[in-house]
Amino acid sequence: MDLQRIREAVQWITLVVTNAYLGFFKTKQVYQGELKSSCVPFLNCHSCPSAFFSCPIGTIQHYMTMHKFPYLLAGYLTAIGITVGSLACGWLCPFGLLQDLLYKIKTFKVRIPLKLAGLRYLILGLLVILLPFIMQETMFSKLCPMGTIQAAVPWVIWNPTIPVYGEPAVSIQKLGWLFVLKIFIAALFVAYFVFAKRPFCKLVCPMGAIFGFFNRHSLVQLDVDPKKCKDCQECRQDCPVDINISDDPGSSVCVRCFNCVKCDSVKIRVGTKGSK
Amino acid sequence: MNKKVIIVLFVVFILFLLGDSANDALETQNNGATMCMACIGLE
Repeated sequence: MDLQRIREAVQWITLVVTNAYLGFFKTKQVYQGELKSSCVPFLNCHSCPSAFFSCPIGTIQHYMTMHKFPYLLAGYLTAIGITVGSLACGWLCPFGLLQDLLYKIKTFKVRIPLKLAGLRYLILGLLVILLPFIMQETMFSKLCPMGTIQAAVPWVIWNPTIPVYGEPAVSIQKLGWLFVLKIFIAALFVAYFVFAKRPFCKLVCPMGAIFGFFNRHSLVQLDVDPKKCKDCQECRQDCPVDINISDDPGSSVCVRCFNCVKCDSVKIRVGTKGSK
Repeated sequence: MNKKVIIVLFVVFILFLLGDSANDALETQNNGATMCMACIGLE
């Protein structure tokens, strides 16, 4: 079994395990138990009917709207980032899985310039931190396509009456331009996933921006032996984010999927160079 | 282990202590337990 298949299996298992709450069929509400005090290290909407955990990006925005610093979450994300970098993006993220799967559809493909990856930091700074802090609104969540797919679409289509309140889960009168905009953005991205490798991860994802920052400093690193590298670009073809790992093994865009270790010139290293 | 990593892990430890005293876990739970209007796209 090759590493790519194992990774895909892990992505599926993560999707199922983190979204296995079935009590919503009875309560008609999101899970409200203690597990919601923990965040998953990837995008997974906490308003998804079956989600057990909270979304880290949603939680950061929530803290910003309250003008508070999320110490626990900052520590948690830093601990993951400094040990494995953006490994969760490649191995766990369900939105990454969706992008990987849709890219398999055979059609013409387009490449996203690597320079545009800086946009993620702009989105993180603006929509996740600054605007929620100033406007007290969770601005990224208003536009997030993952939230649209996992929460908005199922809740609006299903719209059950909540037994405790005797009212519908979604007030139809409150559905307006924002909902239309969310659907439009999500549809645009889903279509884009067919033609480009992980465009959301490369251009938008604030979670990837946070973990990507640690890629150059984390304990788990990729080493490329320039003597063995023939610049055949095979690593780029296998790469889910379309990067040539020999150009920059510590790239912030890399999702640490390790597809490239198939090549003899690329090795996984744990710890500093020369440490045993 | 890298000095940089040890320093960062120490910072992580401090952040965990601060988060614990600020009751961050409960705040996160309360936030995640209510259906988010922004995620659904309600105005």
